[in-house]
Amino acid sequence: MWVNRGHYRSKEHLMEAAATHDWDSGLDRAFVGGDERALAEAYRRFGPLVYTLALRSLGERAAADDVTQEVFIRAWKSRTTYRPEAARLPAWLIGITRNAISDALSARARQRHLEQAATLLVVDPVSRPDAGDVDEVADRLTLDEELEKLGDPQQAIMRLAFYEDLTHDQISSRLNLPLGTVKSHIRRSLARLRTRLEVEHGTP
Amino acid sequence: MEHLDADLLSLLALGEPLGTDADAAHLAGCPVCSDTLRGLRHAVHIATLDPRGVELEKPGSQNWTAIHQALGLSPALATDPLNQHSVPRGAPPERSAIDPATAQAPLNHGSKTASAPAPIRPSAKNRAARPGLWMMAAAAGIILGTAAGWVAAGVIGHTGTPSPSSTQTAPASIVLAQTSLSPLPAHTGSGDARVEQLPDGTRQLMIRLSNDHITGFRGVWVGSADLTKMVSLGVLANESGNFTIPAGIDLAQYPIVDISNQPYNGDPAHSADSIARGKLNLKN
Repeated sequence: MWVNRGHYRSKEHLMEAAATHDWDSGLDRAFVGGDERALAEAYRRFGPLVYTLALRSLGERAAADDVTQEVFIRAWKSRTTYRPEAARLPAWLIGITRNAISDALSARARQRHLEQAATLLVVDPVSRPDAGDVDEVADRLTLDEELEKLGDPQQAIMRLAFYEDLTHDQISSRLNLPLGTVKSHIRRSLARLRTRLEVEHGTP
Repeated sequence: MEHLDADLLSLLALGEPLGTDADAAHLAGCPVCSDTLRGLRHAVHIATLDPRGVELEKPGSQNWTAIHQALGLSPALATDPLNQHSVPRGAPPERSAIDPATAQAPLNHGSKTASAPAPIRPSAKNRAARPGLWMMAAAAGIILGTAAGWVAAGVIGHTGTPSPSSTQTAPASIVLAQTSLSPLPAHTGSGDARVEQLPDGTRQLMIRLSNDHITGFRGVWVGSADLTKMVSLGVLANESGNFTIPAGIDLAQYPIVDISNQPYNGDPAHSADSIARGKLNLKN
């Protein structure tokens, strides 16, 4: 059953999150360097993720449109403050998206308060169930960045643990590193990934 | 009672079947340890998450129109990028050109990544189960190499195009060294280089270098620290390329990665006009 997950979806407006992962750091630099094509490419790769995150949180297409536009406009205008050596563009865009969504939510809350309205925005219930999935895809981009920052041998160790499913014993022999070293790298790296996720979601 | 060892919790989070019965009992009764384990397992789950299959909605074209207009972008970019296969004209290249028809099956980490509260002896690291998955994938006509290439490309931020050679020799490769490539005076191209050891033992030098306006072609070299000895590895035709490092080359003796502007004069020697250079930080 799982082998089918990678296949086409027929609905035209739906896209798969798949392509969000292969993003070249050369594009990061092109972006910061003011190459507009890098912005267009960023939109092509991450526009659907940004839009879907916004749609799941805000429940309205018009509001998701606003957030999507704002994210890319804000990103481009503040590109000089973006430092490719400190963050990868996908993770940076996700951060901007989260801020824009929370701005939109608080603006909405203020609006509701002002109106004291009983006719609150109706959230489209069908758009809710997948929110977790999409959030996790965004989190994955964030962790990808954090993994890169680990440097080696931590990165190599975590890569073998995560993507080759090796035990710490096997990693130790594969990389010819002492067992204790591998274990402590795993502990610190995992703790760092966990912390990054918690920071990202504002739960200390 | 003492809490569980932090190393042990990490390995449990990764699905290694470790721990004594006493550890299990402690974990069952200790909110601190079980909370830590849950947090770590969540990190593992996210890091190993396969985004494929998560459906995203495509924003309407009015969004790009609004962005394009608000930022006064070039008319050449007026078309919604989402309606194109890639951004036009020399745009940053498509990194992995994923063809959904042959797209990789998720590398299913199975129970290892389950986010449910963790049993102390998770059944992951189940070596026996994995060949079965791979065979199923093969039977389904899925290109396994692409999957590993994607993992390499996306996950670790080795974001270069999975090369034909690296995809064929999937799944494992190990980063031996890397460096950034900095432009030399009169040049602007910069990028990075990394050396990966493929499972068959061969070493690949993976180069990425942004465009620079040069008159010749770009030669890829490794050289001694004092640049008195240079070995040519080939021609960098695009913004990225992979080059096999001959087995006899000891990178400790040739730690410099150098990209040169080679004139079209037929002279095989280094032109002495280097575009960018970096020094590999060798592990071990």
